[in-house]
Amino acid sequence: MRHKSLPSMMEFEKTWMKVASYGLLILVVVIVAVPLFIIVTLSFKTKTEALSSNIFSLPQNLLYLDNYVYIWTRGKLLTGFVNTGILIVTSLIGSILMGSMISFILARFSFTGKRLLYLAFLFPTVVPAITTQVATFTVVRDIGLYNTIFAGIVLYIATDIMQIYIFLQHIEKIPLAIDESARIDGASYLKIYSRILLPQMKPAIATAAIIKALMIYNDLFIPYLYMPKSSLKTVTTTVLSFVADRTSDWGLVGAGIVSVIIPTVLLYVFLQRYIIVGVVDGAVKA
Amino acid sequence: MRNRFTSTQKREKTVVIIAFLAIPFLLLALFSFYPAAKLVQISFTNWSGLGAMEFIGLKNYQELLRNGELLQVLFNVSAYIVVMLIQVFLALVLAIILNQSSIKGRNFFRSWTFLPYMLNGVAVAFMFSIMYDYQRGPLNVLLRLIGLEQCAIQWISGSYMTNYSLGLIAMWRYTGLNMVIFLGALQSISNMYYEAANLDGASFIQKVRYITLPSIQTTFEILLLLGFNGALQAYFEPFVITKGGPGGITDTFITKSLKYAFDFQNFGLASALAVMLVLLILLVMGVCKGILLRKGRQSA
Repeated sequence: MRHKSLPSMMEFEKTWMKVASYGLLILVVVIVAVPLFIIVTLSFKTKTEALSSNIFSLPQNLLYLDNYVYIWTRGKLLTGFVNTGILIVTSLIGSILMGSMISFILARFSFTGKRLLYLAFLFPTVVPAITTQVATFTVVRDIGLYNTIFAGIVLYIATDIMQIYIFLQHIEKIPLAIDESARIDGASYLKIYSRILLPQMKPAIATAAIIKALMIYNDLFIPYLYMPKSSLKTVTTTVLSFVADRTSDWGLVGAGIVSVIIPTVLLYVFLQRYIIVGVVDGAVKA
Repeated sequence: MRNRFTSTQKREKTVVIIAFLAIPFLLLALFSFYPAAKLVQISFTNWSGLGAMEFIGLKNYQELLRNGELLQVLFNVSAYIVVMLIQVFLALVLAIILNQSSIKGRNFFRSWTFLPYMLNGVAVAFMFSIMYDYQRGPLNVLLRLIGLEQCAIQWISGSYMTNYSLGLIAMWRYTGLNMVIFLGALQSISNMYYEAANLDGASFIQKVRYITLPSIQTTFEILLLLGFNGALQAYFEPFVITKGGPGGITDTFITKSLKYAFDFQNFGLASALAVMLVLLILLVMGVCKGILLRKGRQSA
């Protein structure tokens, strides 16, 4: 997101407007920051301290890590991270391959029924996967994927194909002449796809990967409904079940929340520019 | 010679198209089209999830309309819609403010506002269940601190207002996203228009009214569409915090439908409710598309 270097012609001309604006901005920052601050401080408090101390106070001992130790060992958070990691990596590979193949065909070939096919790929956008869970559940169960990690992988690949819109727009910007000259040199379509198009699509792939990884990391329903077995729990469902049983221990709840949000916060700190652009792209196009 | 060359080429083309599309299409058919068709089918039966299906016509739909469950869910979801409308408006105001180069620390403000969107929904829901706690939650502690003891609020007590508390969590998460999308649209407005308006001596409010708002109308409509769909499909907050209770007063379409299916083994009723949700989503999309099309014709 670039800011113009030229001074904008759209400026407040009255001082009170400027003051009110800063007031509003600061209020928003406070509303975002305070819950996070409280959760972080709680995570370093003992159970009794969390109960008795002022909720806005700093913890007595900043090195009190028992809550974290407890949730990572007893809560088996590591298993959750491993499972989420497997889901993200495999689903991303599948989604990117599938999305780029579909986009390649839709963008570079003309054939009968193409329009119909395009509409078919639009279908998951019009009828969101979450609305059909009741029926999808019976399908997944009947083909024997229930309570296996493949349920998650397959559903993440098959029911969310927003990456196609990002890919299509990107491919349209790659000149057709590149394909054609490769054809004349005798390259097969497979070669054009794998050697020319895929490398050219790197920025679009990165955008789609960020959005999908975030979506999978934060998802609740697919792991909750289809992979309830304890060895298949993801980060989200691990915390859901472990914390839900111990909501009165706020120190523990805090440590659970912080452990779960740290990875995406770190990602945000380092890749902020790409993430914002990518998420905005994905939200508007899909 | 030439003829044979083009025909092998044609064959290669057909092979590539089929090879590239077969697996994706199969996956889509199995996990998207087929479940959607099956959903409609189940909605006309009294299926328990296992065993034989018995066709019962429109009975599930009639029951949803008669027992008031549909009305209750719609009423609950309307709270999310109200909050969403406030959220889009707030996002627009923030974007207009942050679009001004004279505001200092714009990047900082933008980063902070967007941050909640990055956070895991379940973690955020747990976080707010602490914020909303009646006895020890910071919101009520703050109210008591400034002497408003009697104003301490039962944020998630299980009255209808709980839906607004849950909706506010969604607002906390998504305002930044909406703001950033608006900001992108604002930055694509040419400065030329504002320069011309300045020459005419237009005030700030006039510039917003006659230049900014008309230029970002499409973005506005997209965000409203996304917002409506998001509100209709809300589930994270009630699912984690209230489980839709007590007595269904915080149930949304999704939590209610899952409850019917997996708690009461009534897949028929669950599917009927889901079909109604899909119809509502289609209606919202249709209305939006209609508005966009009519506008397109006017400008053509």
